[in-house]
Amino acid sequence: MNRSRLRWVTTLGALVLLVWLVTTGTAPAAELVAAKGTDVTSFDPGINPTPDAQQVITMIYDTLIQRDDNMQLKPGLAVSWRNVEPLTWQIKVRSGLKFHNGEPFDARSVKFTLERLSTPGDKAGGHVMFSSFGGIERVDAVDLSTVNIKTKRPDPLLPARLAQTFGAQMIPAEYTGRVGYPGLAKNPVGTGPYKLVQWLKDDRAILEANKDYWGGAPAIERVVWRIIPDDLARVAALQAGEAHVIVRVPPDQVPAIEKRGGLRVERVLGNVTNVFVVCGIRKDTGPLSDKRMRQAIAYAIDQKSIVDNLFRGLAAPLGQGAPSTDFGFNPAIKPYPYDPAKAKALLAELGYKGEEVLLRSASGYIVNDVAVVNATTEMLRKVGINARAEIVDIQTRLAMIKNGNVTGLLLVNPQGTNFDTDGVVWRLMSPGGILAVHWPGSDPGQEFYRLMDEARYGLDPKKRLQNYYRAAEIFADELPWVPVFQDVATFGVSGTVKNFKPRPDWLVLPQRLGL
Amino acid sequence: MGWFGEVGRALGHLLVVMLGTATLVFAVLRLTGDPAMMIAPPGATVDDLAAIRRELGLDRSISVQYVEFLRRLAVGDLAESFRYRRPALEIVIERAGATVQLALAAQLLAIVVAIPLGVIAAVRRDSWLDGAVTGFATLGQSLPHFWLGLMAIVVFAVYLGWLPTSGRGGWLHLVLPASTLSFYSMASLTRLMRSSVLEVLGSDYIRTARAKGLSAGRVLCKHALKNALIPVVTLAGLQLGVLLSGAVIVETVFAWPGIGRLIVEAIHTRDYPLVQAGVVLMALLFVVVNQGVDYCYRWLDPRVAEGRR
Repeated sequence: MNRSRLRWVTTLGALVLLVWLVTTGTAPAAELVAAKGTDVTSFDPGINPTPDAQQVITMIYDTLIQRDDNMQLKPGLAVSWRNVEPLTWQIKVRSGLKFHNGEPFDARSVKFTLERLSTPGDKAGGHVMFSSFGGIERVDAVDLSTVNIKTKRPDPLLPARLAQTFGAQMIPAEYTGRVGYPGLAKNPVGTGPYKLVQWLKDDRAILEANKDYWGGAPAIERVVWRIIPDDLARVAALQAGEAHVIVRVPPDQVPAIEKRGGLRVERVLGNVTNVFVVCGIRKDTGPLSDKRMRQAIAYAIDQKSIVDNLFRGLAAPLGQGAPSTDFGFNPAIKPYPYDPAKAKALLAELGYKGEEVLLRSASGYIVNDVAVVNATTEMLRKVGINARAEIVDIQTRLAMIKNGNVTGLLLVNPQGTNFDTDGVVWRLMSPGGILAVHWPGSDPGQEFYRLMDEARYGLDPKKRLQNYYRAAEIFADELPWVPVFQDVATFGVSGTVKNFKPRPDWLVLPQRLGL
Repeated sequence: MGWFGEVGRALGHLLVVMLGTATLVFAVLRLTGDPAMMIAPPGATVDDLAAIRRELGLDRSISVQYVEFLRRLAVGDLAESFRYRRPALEIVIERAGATVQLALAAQLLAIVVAIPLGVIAAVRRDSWLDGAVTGFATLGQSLPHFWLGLMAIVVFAVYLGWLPTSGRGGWLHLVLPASTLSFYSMASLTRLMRSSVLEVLGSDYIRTARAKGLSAGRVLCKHALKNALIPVVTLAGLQLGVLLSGAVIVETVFAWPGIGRLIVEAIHTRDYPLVQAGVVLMALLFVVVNQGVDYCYRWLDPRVAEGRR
C-alpha cells in the first residue's frame, strides 16, 4: 500500500470532520428549557393532531376560548359567547389586538379561520379538523368585534370546540391568503404569547416572548422546547440540569427524581382513559355477549393493584367511559370493587363453560400495555375464566377495532377531545364512530342512544348533565368497555421554576411561569 | 473493462438496488396499517377517515399507487409527507447531515482506538493485556446500543456532569452518541486488527526482516503494520454503511435529530412517503459508500485493480 496516499486520505478526512464538528452551534443561556417526547409536525394549527404538537402551537397561536387549570372555559381572544338563537352562537372578540406581523386580529380573522375549518380538509390546505367544525353552516362578521356562527343543528359543544387545542387556533387571513397554508406552516404568525425564532425539527423549537401579548408580556423571555424521545434520557436531562421542565415522567422514575434535591414531580388526573373494549357483543360471538360475563370480568380485575404496582400510584381506578375531568362524569358511579367471589358467582349464574377469552393489546402503544394485559389475564384466570393474553401488531389491533365479528377484549386508551362525555364516549360509540360496531346499546332506538343524542344537540346544560349521568349508569351496568384506569398527567419540574401548575390537558404554559 | 464500462456497471448496480429497495419498502409499508388513523385527530369519524384516505390517494388500488410511485420516483419526486405536508425527500435530506456526522465521528473514533489496541494485543499475545483487549472486544460486540447509551448518560452526564445528556449542539454533544455508536465497530476492528497483525507477524518476509537484525519496533512499524492495515481499512469502510443504519437506536436514546429516528417515527405514524424517501436515500448512501470504499481500496492497493483487469 502507498503510505503517502493513506496519510493524505486520513488527514483530509480528519480535517473535514474537525471543521464540521467545530461549526455546529452552541447552546444559548438564560432561558426556560423544557423537554417532551415528540415534535410538532407543522406550524399550521389545522394539521397537528398530537398532544405534544399542541404544546408549541398553543404558545404561538390563541384560541377564541381557553381553559383554566381546572379545565373550565374562560375568555381567550373572545370576551364572551352566547346562544342568541338555537342555531346561532354569537362571539364577541377583543378589540385592538394584532398578530405578530402587525395584521389586526378581528372578526374577519375569526370568519376566515372558521370557514377554513368547516370546509373539508382536502379543499382547505389539508387540515384534519372537519370532524370538529363540519357542523358549522355559516360564519358572519357582524362588525369588527362580533361574529355570528350559524350551525346546522343546535351545538352546545361549540364553545368547547373553539377552546380545543387540536387546531382551533385563530390564523391571520391576509397573511395566509398571501403566503398560503404551506407559508403559514413555515413561518407561523399568531397572536400568542411567544413567537417562533428557530425550529430544528426533532431537535428543538426556540421561541421568544411577544412583549405586546394581550395577556401581559411573559416573564420568561426565551423558551426552548427540546425533543427527547426516550423517557429515561428525558429524565436524565432534568437531573443533569439541562431541562427545567419535562413532560411525562415514567412511573418507575418518580423516586429517582424526587430523591434528588431541587427536583419535583407534579401530577394531576389526566383526560385519558384506559379500557378493555369488549369486541363482538353485537354478533353474539360467545359468553362476552352476556353482560354478566362482562361484569364478572370487572369484579375480577383488581384495579388498585394495577394502579399501585404497575403505575406506582400514577393512575386512578375508573368505573365509567368518561374520565373524571370531563363534563358528564358521574361521581356517584364507583369503579367495580375487586370481588373474586362475586365474579365467580356471576360466572356460575350465567353458566360459563370455560370458553376462551382473549385479551389483546399492541406492544408499546400505551404505557405498560403488555404488563397490564398480562396482569389482567392472571386476575381473570384466578376466578376461573379461561383467559389468554395475546400481543398483536398494530394492524390486527386496528382490524379488531373495526371488525364486529371478532370476539375478545382489546386494550385501548380513548382520549377526550373537548372535556365533555361527547368527546370520548359518544364520538367513539355513536353510529359511524370507530367503536360503534361492537355494542348494539348505542344504536338508534336504544335508551343510551336517545340520552347521548339529546345531550349532543341539547342547549340546556342541566338537562345534558342529567342525560350523561343516566347514560353513565347504563354504561357501567352494560360494560361495552371494561374500564381499567385513568391516566395521571406527570411533569418533572426543577425547583427554580415558579408558578408551575400541572394541567389535565398536559399543556405547559411558559407565559405563566417564572425562573 | 474501460472507464465507461466501469461507470456503467456501477450505475446499473445502483439502479437495480434502488428499484428493489423502493419496491420492497412500498410493498411492506402497505402491510403496516392505515395512515388515516394516525393523521386524524381523536374526534374523527369513519367518514372523516375516508376523506383523508381520498385526499392522500390511498383509496386507489395498490397497483395504481405503485405505478404512480415509480413514475414519480423516476423524476426524483418522492411525494409529500402525509403528516408534514412537505416534500418527503426535502425533510429527509435536511436530516441526513446529522446522521452522516454521527456515523463519521463514530467510525473515526473506532479506528483511532481499535488500531493501537489491536496492535498491542497482537504484540503482547497471550499476556494479561491481550486478555483485557480481547475481553473488551467481546464486551463491545455484545452490549446493546440502547443500554450502553443510557448507562453513558447516567454516568458521564448525570453523575459526573462532564457532558450533555442528549441533543445536537456543540461538539461536546457528539461525544456520548459517537462513543456509543462506535463501540461495536471499535470492538470488531480491534479483533480484526489483532488477528491481522498476528498473521502478518508470522509471515516469511517478517522473519527475513528479523533475521536482518532489525529491532522489533522497526519490524512492526516499517514492515508489518501497513500490510496488516489492508483488511482493517476495508472493514472500516464497509462498516460506515452499517453505522448509518445502526444510528437509529443511538439517535433515539440521545435525541439526535438524524435520519434513522425520522424513519422510525415515520413508520410508527405510517407516513408512507417519508419512510420511502428515507429508505431510498439510505440505500443510495449505502451503495455510494460501498462503491467509494471499493474505489479507495483499489487506489490504496493497486493489486486489487490489477486483479480486476
